[in-house]
Amino acid sequence: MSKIIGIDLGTSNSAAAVLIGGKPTMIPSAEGTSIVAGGKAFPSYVAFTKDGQRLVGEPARRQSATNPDGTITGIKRKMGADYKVNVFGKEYTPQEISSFILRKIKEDAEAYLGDSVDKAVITVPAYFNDNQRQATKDAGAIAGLEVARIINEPTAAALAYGLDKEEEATMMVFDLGGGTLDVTIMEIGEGVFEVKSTSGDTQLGGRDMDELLLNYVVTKFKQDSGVDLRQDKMAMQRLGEAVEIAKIELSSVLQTNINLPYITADQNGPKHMDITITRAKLEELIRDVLNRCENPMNQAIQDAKLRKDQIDKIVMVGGPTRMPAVQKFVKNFMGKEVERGVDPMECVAIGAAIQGGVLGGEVKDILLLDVTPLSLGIETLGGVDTKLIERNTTIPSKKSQIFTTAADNQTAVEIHVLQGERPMAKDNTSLGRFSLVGIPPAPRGIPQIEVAFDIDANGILNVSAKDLATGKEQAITITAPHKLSQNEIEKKVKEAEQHAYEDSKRKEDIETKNQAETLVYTAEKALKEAGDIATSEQNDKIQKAIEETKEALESSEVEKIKEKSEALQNAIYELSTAMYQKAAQQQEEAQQQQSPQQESKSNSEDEVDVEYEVVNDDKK
Amino acid sequence: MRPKQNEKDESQTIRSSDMKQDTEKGLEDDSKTGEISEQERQLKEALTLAEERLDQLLRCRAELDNTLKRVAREKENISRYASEKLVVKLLPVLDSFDQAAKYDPGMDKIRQQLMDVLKGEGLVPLDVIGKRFDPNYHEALMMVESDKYDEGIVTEEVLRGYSLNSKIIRFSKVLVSKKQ
Repeated sequence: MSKIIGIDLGTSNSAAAVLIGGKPTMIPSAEGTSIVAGGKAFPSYVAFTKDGQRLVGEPARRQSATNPDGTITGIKRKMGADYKVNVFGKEYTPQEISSFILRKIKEDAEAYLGDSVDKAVITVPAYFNDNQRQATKDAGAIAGLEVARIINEPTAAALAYGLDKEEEATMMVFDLGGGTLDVTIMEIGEGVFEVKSTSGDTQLGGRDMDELLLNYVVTKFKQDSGVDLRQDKMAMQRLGEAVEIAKIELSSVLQTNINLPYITADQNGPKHMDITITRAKLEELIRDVLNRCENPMNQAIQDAKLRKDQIDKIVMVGGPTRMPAVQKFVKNFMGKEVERGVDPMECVAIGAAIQGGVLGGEVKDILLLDVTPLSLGIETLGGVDTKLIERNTTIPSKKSQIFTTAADNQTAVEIHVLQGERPMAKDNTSLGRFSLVGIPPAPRGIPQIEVAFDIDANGILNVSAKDLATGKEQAITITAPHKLSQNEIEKKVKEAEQHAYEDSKRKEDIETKNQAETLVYTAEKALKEAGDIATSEQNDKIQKAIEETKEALESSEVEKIKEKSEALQNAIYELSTAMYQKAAQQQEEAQQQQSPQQESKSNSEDEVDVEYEVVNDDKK
Repeated sequence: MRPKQNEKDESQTIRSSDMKQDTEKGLEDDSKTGEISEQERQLKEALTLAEERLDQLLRCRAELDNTLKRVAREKENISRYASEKLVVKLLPVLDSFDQAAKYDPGMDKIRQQLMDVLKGEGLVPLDVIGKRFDPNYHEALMMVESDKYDEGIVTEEVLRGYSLNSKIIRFSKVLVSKKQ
């Protein structure tokens, strides 16, 4: 069974999305998109060229000036009407024209997913009547798509914002597109959306704002330089692109520059444009457009027999609503904040994809995956928190690692389970502890204790420790500690970042200490094993180095510890080198005594190990 | 004014309350036939659930595989078009230099210098004058009279177009000859 994609079949632009891994993802348009459409949508253009080609999207738009008779735009306005398009002698119904757009989307989706796509959810305006909805369904069928459902555009937008999870709410969907404004008042209750009223303005949109900004710049330039840019085609093209970019930038910065050197020339020589535009200026320029948005909002609220303050949620749809000016205007008018978190240009397609996911059985609660908000680990030698599961790991998840003992004949290990980002155990949250006993006595570093963390889909953590030699195992279950709010999580992560430098230094110091201790242990062992091989000189030297290292460890002065353990290490190397030489010597002598064909065996007993405390066998 | 939506449109039910109703209905019919049937029913339910889970698992794997394939493709694209974003941003600068070069030989040299670097990245200016209009390379601004060319030929390039490693990153904005 293939995926059900979501399609926003718009008057000016169309887009599609699909759930991948439960997450809504926009399906890219094959021929690319313009900056205008935000990179994901493509213009709803269909064209038939004189040489018999059929073009859809950007290519159709690019040739429209050369082929006005063969280029069709805004066909959505004619859906459900008894109307035929006549192109070079052939007749098409609006459904057929729309089907060409839908077919392109189908092909794009198949290329993107690498799988066949046969079903879709398509959105329509809330005010579409039965004929118009049926026509949309037919268009899908002609394109080879089974239309699993037709849903209203404002409903799709609300879905994208997750508003279907509200028990009961009243919402206003403010859809300001390139050329039209649609305001819808809806109620959600028990999983059902109900449209209460719609209103709008078919002659109002982002394009008006672009016009105003462009006019301003051209007029200002004329005032400053005396030159009318509108007479210079190339200048207008360069300016058009620059204005587009400036407008988008002003949504995130407070001012921007339109810097176009050598933009044009007159009898006095070349002219340059360098105009600064502030966000405030832009807001001033579009004030009239914004003011015209008031009536439709008032009308819709009135028709729904409600008051402004009875609207719980405000949803923004359409590219122009990304502008802070528009958001501010609506917020001030309604007296509350607008919903955030979804790209207003994508939310309709995304909402349709979510509905497609529900109908396709993808969005069942069990498939909604969670993540661990903070890292989980255990306390190891020196009070260090050794992390086993990193924060933001998707659960369910399982991770295990092999640990070992810190002292000779250690027969029990304590597993102290921690949650947090700091390197030191004491700075993190303790989730629980337990002990594993009955470990057969052995030199330190020999036993293998496998510690496993297993988080299930509900966030319940099972920690187990198993002695691989005996098979003995202990475990505890930790139910999710009090749910941390997003703020608390961010605070902890920030704390870790702030203390990162000092924490890492402290961790380093502890590791130096641990290594020194191990070195003392192995040095003493080596001396014992070396026995006679060590000269009394070497013996004394090493004993001294061991004493000094032990002293340094007592003092806890890190630099001293480092210094003394290095000296000890060097002393040991001398001894082990000597031991190897001696061993090699002995072998030669042995060989000479025996038959020449005998092979020499390497004597591994005299190897000196300098081990680390934790054996890092990463097992997934 | 628009026509209002008066009735509750049931097609707007979003969540899976439909599916839940069906399952509950099925359960009611069996409750009369005794305990052994109860066990059978539970077994059936468990088997159905197991099948469902296996199906979900396979779907997950398939989705993962497809995603990995797509990620590999996208990775390749990213390295191929790594400089695309930067190059696109530099095109208006090139435009400025093109104009400046007309007035100042020094500017022309700088233009050349910049162009050499960009060519090294795979940038190629589109060659459009006199060619047949093609929406895959050109964007027509308007049609104009032309003595020189037949219908449908690019007569003038108003804003230069470029390709980067064979991908068009800016379409040429052109004037196209009209029918005589």
